[in-house]
Amino acid sequence: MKKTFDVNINGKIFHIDEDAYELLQNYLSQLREAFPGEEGQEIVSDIECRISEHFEQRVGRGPQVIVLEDVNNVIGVMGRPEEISGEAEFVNDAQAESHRPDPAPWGSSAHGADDGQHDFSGAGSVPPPPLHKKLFRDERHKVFGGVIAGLGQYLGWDVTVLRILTVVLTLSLCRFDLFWAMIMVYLICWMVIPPARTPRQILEMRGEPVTVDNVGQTVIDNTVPPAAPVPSGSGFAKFINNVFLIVGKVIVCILGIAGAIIAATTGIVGLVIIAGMCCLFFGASGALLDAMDISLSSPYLEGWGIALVLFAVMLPAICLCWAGFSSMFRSPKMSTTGIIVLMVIEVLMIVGAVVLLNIGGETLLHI
Amino acid sequence: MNIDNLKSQMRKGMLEFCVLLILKRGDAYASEMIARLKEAHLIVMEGTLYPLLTRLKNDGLLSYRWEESTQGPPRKYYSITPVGHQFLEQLQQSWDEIAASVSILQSDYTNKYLPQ
Repeated sequence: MKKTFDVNINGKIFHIDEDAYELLQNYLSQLREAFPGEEGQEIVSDIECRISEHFEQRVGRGPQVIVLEDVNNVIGVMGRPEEISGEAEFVNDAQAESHRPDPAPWGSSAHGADDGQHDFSGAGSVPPPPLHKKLFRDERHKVFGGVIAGLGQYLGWDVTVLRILTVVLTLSLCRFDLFWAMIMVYLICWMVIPPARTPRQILEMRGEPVTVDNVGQTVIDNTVPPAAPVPSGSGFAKFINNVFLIVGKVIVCILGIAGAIIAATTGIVGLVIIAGMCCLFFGASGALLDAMDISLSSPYLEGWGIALVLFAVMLPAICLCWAGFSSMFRSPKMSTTGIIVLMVIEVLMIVGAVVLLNIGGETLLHI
Repeated sequence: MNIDNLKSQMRKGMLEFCVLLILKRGDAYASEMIARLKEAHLIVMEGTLYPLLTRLKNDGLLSYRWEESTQGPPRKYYSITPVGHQFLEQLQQSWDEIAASVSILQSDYTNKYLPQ
């Protein structure tokens, strides 16, 4: 059983398998990259028309659904982006050669021929941009966030070596009480470096050229769950890697449990305080607060302030807990909007708490 | 020297010429042109036609119009412009020259090395 999408290509609707869809999507986005600008848009949309015609013929002949093989066939017929824009490359080659000092006797004639070729082809399309190796987080080989694994890919170093170096560096920093600095650096890297998610990003991370062959392969690779495939190496390296993975899981698990405990405690205490405040507000006795041995000089403001502080601690604790368990059990990840909303709420709570506690303190002084 | 590379380069240079030749006989949309070019074994990758058409259009040698089709979405019909006709004439001339030169050399070759 496979999931299918409905896609509209040039006004025709096709049912297309998920992996086939992904490959087609990649193909088209590569074409868009190979043919930038307004002119390129026209070319790509014309090519889309043709693809739609091919799919139409194919659906007329056989099963209803477009599968990976059909997309591969169409790419084979249309040509890969670098093959389609090959003409432009040819012109560039000719230009490059005509600029090269050429001692050969046919130099001048070749020069003329090249110029002729250039004029003949006119202003050609732009060849696909060269691919730079980029730094990504490698989430498929991660222990925590995949920062070190990504760095390993970027530098071309063995991940295990890099991990050992990181641990040694962290431990040696411990001697100077700079352990926290390492943690901060790691967390900042985690936030700043994007993860390699799309096939293209994964290829960029590895520094492999983006060809449809490659992308097709990565698309297929990607459908395999990222179950931490261990990098090739000796048995000992694999063992060390597994140790890292297990220790990582344990640390994540401990952090998750700690988050849960902190969240539960602060949440309960905060709710009790709010309940007590409500009791006071509605004229009931302050017994609940007294029972908890919380005495407030200016209960209406300071009480809310303390409750806010507790909730401000609870929110990150919940996030920590969720992060811990989501990495253990692969539960859904939070969206960027969700994270921003939570951060705004957190800042508001901190500001609120500071303001309330200050006003509370001042009124205390005035009274 | 890669023979396939050279062959494809020879074809590529001809492609503009051939597209104009096809359009001289009548307006056509891209798929018809592809069918004809394939019949003539001139293109392998269908996609290569599209950048070429756009370029010829931008250079003012071709123009296109949208035409409704009975079986599906509207199609882009290309036609050759007066500038395109002039261009084609020049190409035709230079092609004749090239063909003549090549055939002279070829006949030399056959006369010299092949038993009649």
